[in-house]
Amino acid sequence: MASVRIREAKEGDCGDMLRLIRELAEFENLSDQVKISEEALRADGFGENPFYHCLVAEILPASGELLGPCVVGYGIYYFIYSTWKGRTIYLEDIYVMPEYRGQGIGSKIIKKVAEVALDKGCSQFRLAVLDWNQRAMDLYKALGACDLTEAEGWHFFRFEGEAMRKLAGK
Amino acid sequence: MAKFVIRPATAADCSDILRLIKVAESPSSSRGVGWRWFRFPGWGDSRLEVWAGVRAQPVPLSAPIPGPAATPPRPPHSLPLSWPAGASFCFLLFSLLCASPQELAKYEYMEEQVILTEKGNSTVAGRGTSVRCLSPSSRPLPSLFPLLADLLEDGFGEHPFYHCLVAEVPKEHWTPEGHSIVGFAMYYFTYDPWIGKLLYLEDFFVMSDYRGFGIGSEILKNLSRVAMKCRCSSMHFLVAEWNEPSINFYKRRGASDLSSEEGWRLFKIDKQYLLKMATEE
Repeated sequence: MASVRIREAKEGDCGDMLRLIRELAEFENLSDQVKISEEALRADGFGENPFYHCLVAEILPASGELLGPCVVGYGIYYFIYSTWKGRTIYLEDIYVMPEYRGQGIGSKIIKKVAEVALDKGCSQFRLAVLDWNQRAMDLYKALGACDLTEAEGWHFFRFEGEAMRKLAGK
Repeated sequence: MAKFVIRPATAADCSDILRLIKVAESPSSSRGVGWRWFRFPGWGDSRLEVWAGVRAQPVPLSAPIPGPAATPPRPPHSLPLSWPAGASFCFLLFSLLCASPQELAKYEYMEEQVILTEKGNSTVAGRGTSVRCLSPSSRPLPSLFPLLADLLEDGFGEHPFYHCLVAEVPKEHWTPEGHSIVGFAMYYFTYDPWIGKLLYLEDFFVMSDYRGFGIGSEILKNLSRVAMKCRCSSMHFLVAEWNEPSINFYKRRGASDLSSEEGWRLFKIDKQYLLKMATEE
């Protein structure tokens, strides 16, 4: 029987990561917004100053099977800072391929990120969810998460592209 | 105001940054609309005053404000007052004049038990009972603000978790207490796997006496330049939905509300649940 392993991504995983990032965008109906390249993922995550960290979920074949391990899910996280809470971990992306859901892989990824958070002295774990993604919201709430947008009215805002250039005076 | 300078913070600025973080959250600062403060004369004693602050939508002038006659002494675990409708967040402020650590502990514990009741019924007011404690006295409650040592280590140690810009004014414009730093912005870099690096604005504050001189705009300009220099495709931040002045300030400059437009919600998981997850089989 195949087993699942959650491990830190290596530079060689970037191809799989991009494949799954595109699948997640497709799931969110926003696939035309993926502009990133495998080279950028490699440089930004595995260079001298990583801007993100990644965990991959790998299915390890049972002995005797011909296929090697395959990456079926990922989690991308990074460290942020709160003036009230100090060091915080932020789970940017989490995705498990549809055929591998329902086995607790998502929970295992989140648990691993929680362990990293505690190890690095973080006192909080944050993430963003789309309001129609009930299954995800239920999973996070079952793990103890609280919806701050609902409870405290926080909204995400963005300056991008032209608006940011105008602010910069360029 | 003749001249002010926006510059990157150094380790020496940490105590000023911490001072401004506290000023930004103090009751007199009222970041945005709708701070209402109510005192509970029936609570506490000669050394301890108990106040509650409510961040809410603007309250019509006709709404009743609880006064001394409306606040009979109550056991600390209930608060049956008429809160303004729409209250969604509450700060409880303890003015600790000379409380002992035991009294402090007692009131910190009390914060967990405070229940808000909406006028006319006994259900919990607003959409959540987030209750926090603030103390303006010289003995800040321990869990509230970062320690100076943490701020120093986390911003200027081997692995910086944040960066800061500060606004500095010349001597003729220093604060009455002799401070030259009158505003700050705290930011760090985040990552969007679809587009790459982003600049995230965590905190942004200018002392009220120094507003209206373009300091805030100049800080934003500097931040955008940092973002562009570091090849960030956009700048993200959070704003509370009741904070109309801030929302207007950002929207006037071209910001968009992703929560309203795309449906993003911010979730948090507190440390006790992280421990539970990490120790569970």
